[in-house]
Amino acid sequence: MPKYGLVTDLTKCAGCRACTVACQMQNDLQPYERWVRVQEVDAGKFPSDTRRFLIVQCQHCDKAPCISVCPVRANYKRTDGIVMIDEDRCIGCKYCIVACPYQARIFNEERGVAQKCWLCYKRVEKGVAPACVVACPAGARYFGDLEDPDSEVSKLIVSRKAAKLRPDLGTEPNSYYIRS
Amino acid sequence: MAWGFPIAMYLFLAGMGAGAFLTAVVAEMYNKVAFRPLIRAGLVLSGILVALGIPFLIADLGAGRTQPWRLILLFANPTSPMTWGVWVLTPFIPLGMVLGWLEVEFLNPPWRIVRWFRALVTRWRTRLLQAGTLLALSIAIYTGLLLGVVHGVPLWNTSILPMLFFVSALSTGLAACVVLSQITAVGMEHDGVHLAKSYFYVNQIHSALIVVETVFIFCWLFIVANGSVTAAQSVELLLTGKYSLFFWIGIGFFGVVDPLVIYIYEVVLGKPLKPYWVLISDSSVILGGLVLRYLVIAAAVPVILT
Repeated sequence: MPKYGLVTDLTKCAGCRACTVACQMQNDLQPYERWVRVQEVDAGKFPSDTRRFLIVQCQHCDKAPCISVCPVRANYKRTDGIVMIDEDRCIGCKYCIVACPYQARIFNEERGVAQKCWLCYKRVEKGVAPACVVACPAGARYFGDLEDPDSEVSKLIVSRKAAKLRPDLGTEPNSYYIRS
Repeated sequence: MAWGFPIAMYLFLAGMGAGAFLTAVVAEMYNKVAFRPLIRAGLVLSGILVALGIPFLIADLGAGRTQPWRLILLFANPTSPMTWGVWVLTPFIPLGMVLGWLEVEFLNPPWRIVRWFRALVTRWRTRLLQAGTLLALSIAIYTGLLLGVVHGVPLWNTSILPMLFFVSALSTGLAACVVLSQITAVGMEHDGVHLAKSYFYVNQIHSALIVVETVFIFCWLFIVANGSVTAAQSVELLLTGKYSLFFWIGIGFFGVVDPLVIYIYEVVLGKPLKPYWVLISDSSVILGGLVLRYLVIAAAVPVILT
């Protein structure tokens, strides 16, 4: 089985939020509901100071806190690595929202359940990359099989030294970031 | 923070109910006769207080509130602290209520089945108290574990938080027993002087609990403040920031200073205080316990992603 993941080249990201909006269009989200969020971080000191962007969405962790804390087992990991929420089981206790260190989850007030990026699994099953990847005008985002050493993402991780977000938290995320 | 006051209220009530039960058990072990009103209050309160927390928990739910049949799934995940909570709360509530029912004269219609059930529970009372003790200890600690396992929030992710919640549960539980036994003492077989005498010893134990709790709060904030950046932000919110008024007045004054001064005054005086003093000090403790739970949740700052 493949193990799907994202690689994001932050050196290309201009902070345009096309990924956020593409995701909202793809998944019929309200304007205030974001499964993909773009954080802004000021870095460096004058005169060489700069603003960097960090794109955060579900990291589809191998040791996902959301799965272990969910009291009703509404969270689960598919064999292709995508972490999913079963909206027919979720009781809306918000424990997963609290427990996710990447703050990747939102609470859908209308349906009363937790929601988050599901890596556009319906597109992926048809062989199309997720909306956030396709929409990026800078081509900063890559989608592929992390298990396959010949895939574009695997090669990028090696050649560009892509790193995980906060690996010290022990969640073993499957999203990689290129920073230089 | 996705959680707010309802969850804090639930954690507070669950802790207080467990603490009330433990108060009754310890009092019964120590002196069954002298602490009779306290034991009665503790057992009556235990199941009721924990049960009162459940509506707050349900009110905070999403689909679980509108489609309650989903709640049966709550027993499903053995890795979730919330499931552990359901496992211990579910037997504790009826157990506490039945033991509390033994202590009261009302709700006791002269039917044969009621008489039979009362005799049955009376025969098993010691065993039920033992089982209840285990469950109450678990509940008091679980409320801290629920937050403690979240490593995305450095303020919570420390081993002292469950211990702090445990001591706070004992303290608020004891206070609830004292308040209820004092209020219901009017017109009961125990006269006020006798009750005040038993409070004289209880208050000294309670002041020790409050000192331990203060030490825990200090150590917790001190260590957390020297941890990560977000952890320091949480502590700042509590001590000097947005929640500082709640912290210093709610926890500092009502939770610690006010009751401690009253208890120490009693020791200096060398004789039991008038009943209204005990009511003031112990309702103050209860308020402090509630503010503590609320602030632990409100001041949670998630880790920084860079």
